[in-house]
Amino acid sequence: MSFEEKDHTADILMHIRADEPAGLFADAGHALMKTMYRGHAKPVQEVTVTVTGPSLEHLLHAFLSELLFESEVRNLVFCEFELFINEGEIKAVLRGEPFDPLVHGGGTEVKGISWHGLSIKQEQNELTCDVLFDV
Amino acid sequence: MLNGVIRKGEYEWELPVGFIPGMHVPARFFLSDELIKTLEEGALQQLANVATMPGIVKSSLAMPDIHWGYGFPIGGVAAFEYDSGVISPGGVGFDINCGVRLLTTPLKQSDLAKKKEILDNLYDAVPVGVGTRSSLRLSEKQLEKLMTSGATFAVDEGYGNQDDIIHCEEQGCMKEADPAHVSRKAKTRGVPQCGTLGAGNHFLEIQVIGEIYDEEAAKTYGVEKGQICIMVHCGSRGLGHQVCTDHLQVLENAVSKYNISLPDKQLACAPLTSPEGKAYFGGMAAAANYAWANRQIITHQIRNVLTRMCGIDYDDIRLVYDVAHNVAKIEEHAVDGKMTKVCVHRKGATRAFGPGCPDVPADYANAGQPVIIPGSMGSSSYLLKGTDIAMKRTFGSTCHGAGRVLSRSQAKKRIKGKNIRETLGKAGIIVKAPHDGSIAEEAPDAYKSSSEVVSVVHNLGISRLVARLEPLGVLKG
Repeated sequence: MSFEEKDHTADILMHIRADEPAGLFADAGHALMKTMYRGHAKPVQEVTVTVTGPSLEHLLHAFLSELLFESEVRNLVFCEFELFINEGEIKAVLRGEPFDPLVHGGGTEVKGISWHGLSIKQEQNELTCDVLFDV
Repeated sequence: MLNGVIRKGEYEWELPVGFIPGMHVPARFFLSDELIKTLEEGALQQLANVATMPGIVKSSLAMPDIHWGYGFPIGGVAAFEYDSGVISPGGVGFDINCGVRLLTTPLKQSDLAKKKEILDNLYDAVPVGVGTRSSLRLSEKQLEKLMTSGATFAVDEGYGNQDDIIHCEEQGCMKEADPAHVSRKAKTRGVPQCGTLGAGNHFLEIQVIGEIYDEEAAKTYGVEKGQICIMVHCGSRGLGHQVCTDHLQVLENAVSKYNISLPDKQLACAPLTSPEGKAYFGGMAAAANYAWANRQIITHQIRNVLTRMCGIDYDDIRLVYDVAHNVAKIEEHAVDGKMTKVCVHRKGATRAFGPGCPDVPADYANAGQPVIIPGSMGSSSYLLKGTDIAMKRTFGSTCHGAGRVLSRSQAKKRIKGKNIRETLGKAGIIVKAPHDGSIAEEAPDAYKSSSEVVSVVHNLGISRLVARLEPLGVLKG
């Protein structure tokens, strides 16, 4: 996993780095889960989601918004992301376990995925992206 | 950073038209010499950006709790002409109708010998934190009704009394709500969370009135020194967050459809009279109603705990008022000497209508609308009153809180939740939260001084101090 939190006064800004898009999306997913929940989760349940979008940035925004939705309504803490990226579409298998307040409680509530500064860049041999979680 | 900024008075600063290209009106913000040290360049830029939006009238405004937000700065206020203006989720925020309410009790501090047990019981009664769910199970039909009628739905279902409705901004219901513009996803998120506090800066606090500044207004609002009060700060939960997410996508496309030129994608908007603008407004109003119902149901849970544990009557726990601080509303304000129908966006700002204004409850008509300003954890909160000056200068608006100065990550690095809990404990303030980390994030040092922010709005006259409330016990999500 390669993500780090950067300073942002109001919200939570994550800097993500990966070799290729699927890795970048997966790490962004881990960053979101790490913000929302504490502790570790095991991959005991899985959910498959598909999102579409006209650009990689739109796909990332849609993927994270869907991950937030699935986690909240299914009360699942996800820890593994298997991604299949095609042009304009991502199929993602999300794996995790049910939320347990004793294990995962005390995280930060994420209200939404912000478009602020959401731009995927190719830097030398890696992809980088800043993602802002509105909290 | 202040190059090009004109100081207009002790607390008033202006970004003139031309500060950035495309501004239709000037931008104004209100800060003391002390608070201007905390002003972020990004927030200033956002304030100027708002002044470029179609149909904006008079000026783009920011209250003294200004800080960098999404689209609009937090603390931002802007009004757009109804016929030619726009509506933007960036001027409302993800947490639609995040707001605060103040309850009074007949209790004194000497009645709180079992304060810790009361707090424990409140913690059990009001679900707090990420992942918690309400014991309430709303049917689809009930949720539709809740989104249409807001606090009235909750009271009709037995979660309060008629006085509660009278003492909410908009009487706890925006009549423009249209649940048809609330997606299936938003409804799915909303069902299990109605009656929950959430996390982040949301809280439930036991407070005591520490000082009265305006005896007459305090009497009108039914507050007195030494009285135990409860303050609740929360919003529309996942339902409102999803409404924002869903409509942002639609409005992003509307920007090009209606040839709107914007300096920042986060200001995605649509004409108020367009199908996209009307759809967002209807969905946003439905989410606002959800928030009022949510705070009303939490109020019922609080009353149940206090009646059981303190031997007081349910109806003796009185709602002073409930204000929204993330919302867009259709109001009439004087523009160029003429009363004009406008859409006022308040993003981290509180309505502060003066005496005799419409929607100020009849029993408060002479004093003006109560304004409730929560402090950061462990610091003072304030009760103020709306003024005629606010009607003339800020579209009847004032600040909403303290405003952050430290990021959450900085706060967690510098401050340990356990230390804060112990320090506040020594001062007689009990803090209860699912985890010490969430205490550190919301530590008092992470915020501007609420006293300084409130003193600016008081001295400017856009709201006037009535009472100061001191925390005794805090429930944090």
